[in-house]
Amino acid sequence: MAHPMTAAGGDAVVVRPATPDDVEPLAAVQVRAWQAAYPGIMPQAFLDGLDVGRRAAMWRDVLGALDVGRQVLVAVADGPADDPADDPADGPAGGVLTGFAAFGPARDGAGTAGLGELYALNVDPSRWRIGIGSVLIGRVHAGLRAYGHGEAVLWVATGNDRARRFYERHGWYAEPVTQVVTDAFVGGELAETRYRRRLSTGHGGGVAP
Amino acid sequence: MGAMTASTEPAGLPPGPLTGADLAGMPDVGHRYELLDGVLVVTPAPGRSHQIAAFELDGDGTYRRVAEATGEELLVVARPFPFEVRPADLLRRACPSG
Repeated sequence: MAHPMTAAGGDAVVVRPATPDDVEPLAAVQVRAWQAAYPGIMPQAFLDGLDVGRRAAMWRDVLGALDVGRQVLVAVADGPADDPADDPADGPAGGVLTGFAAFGPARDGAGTAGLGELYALNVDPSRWRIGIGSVLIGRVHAGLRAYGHGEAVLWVATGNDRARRFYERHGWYAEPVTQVVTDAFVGGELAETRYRRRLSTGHGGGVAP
Repeated sequence: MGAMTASTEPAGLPPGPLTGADLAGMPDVGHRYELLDGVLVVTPAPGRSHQIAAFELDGDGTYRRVAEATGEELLVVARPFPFEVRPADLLRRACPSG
């Protein structure tokens, strides 16, 4: 069940599994987060050309193909009634989708039992630094644990210092493992660093979920 | 119990020699099915390498014109072509990094 939690900004944050109605606001959050976080990391022309409709279609495909152990969570905030950001296009129930996270078994870890992966965690840049990401990542850690993963990895853009500090605060550590993703979906080349975290009880580290 | 007997046969096939009706009932998943004297012969769909070679050997240039029209980002292959869309690949596309 979705229990409201209070982020530092004071608004109640509900985290729940994404539904097909969420794909447009989810894609909009992702596009805004990339445009805020990736200048100098991804080509500017690629960032300027990001299209919410196209990304929403990608997320619709993802939600339609989710298999056991993979989840996409969304954080929904109840802003004040006159919140100008509370647009009907943001989704049902009056809540504003402020962030999302996707996790499941490690994508490159075929056969690596017990290794999970945080695929992505994005928060709307207008709501950074008020605790929404912390609420989301706590739910991700719990979800990965619930599916039996004793450890998890994630790939973060090597130049994304803000994200790296966020993950380090939440118990993740950089491994000496890097890769360069080269394809149209990152606008060319993207250098990534792998992070790892233990999930077993008693090995939380950082801010315990 | 007579109706239950079929459930012990693969793909619901009856015992004994197969007929044209059995052939017509085969699922359309890209395999080639041939009925030879009551024997069903199944050949998997050709793979990527075969279809790319067919592309290169194509006599009248139809495939090449299609490929040029669709741009350099797409791989054009003739059907039947077996493929599978995996959730991990969709996720890699939607969120390449954390």
